[in-house]
Amino acid sequence: MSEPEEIQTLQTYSETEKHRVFTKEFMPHIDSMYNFAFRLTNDEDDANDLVQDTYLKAFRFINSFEEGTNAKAWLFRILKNSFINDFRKKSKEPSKVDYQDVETTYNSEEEAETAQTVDLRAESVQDLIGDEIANALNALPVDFRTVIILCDVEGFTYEEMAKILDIPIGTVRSRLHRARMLLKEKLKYYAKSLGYDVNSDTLTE
Amino acid sequence: MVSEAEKVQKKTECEHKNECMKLVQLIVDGQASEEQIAQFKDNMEKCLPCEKGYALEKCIKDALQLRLEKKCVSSSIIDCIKKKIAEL
Repeated sequence: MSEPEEIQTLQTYSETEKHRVFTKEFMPHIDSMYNFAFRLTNDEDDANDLVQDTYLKAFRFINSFEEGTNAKAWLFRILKNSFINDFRKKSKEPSKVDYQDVETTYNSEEEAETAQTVDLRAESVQDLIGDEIANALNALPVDFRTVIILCDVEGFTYEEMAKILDIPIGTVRSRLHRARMLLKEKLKYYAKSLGYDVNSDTLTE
Repeated sequence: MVSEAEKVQKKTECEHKNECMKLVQLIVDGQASEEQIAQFKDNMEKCLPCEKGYALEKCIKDALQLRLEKKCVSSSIIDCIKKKIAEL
């Protein structure tokens, strides 16, 4: 996957070809891109701005995209970098981070594979509605939310995620593990609020 | 389908929880090799905590895929992008 930030001019598309490649390769992914942007920013206007920025950058750097390669991953990488480098700095709503979560998780990201369990059962999750799932996801620090969106919502492979996020595959695995542990904690809160005894598969009320 | 009687025969404590949960993550994400899939299937027949761990991970993944609203971009944003591209 070529990196637009590296400004590697590998292709020499004519103006007509640029528009054709843009329409054919990039536009089909715009809903996924918007969904990703919305999940990162939690704001429709911010997501719109981020998607527009990303698509304009994609066009500007289109010569570093090879037609027929993984356009979706290429675009996601641009969007993620735009979010980190430009957008998050000027965002009107600073990202809400539970610093205790971050401290706990980042301090031990490389030890993510140590034994940890959350007392939550599949049966407790099955009754949660979409809004509760979304709230639990939104409550995660952005780096953890990102790996879950890329993997579980968008279906990227670990290899693709490693390229999008610029991290080794081992870090993808451990970060995903940490992210899921945190998500389970958040889901447990909602399951409890529904009256589930999260340890026993049954409703207590 | 494993019957309730058969489930009773399964281990109720997993002595390899770390390794098993790593494997469960690979399975749920479709990233496991054939060998790992075989190992996982074999283990699932014997270990209740692993079976429940898999069910939970799968359930959460399914919930994220199916129950989370898919936000779509508005046509006005698409038009705006096309207009800006045309002006470049």
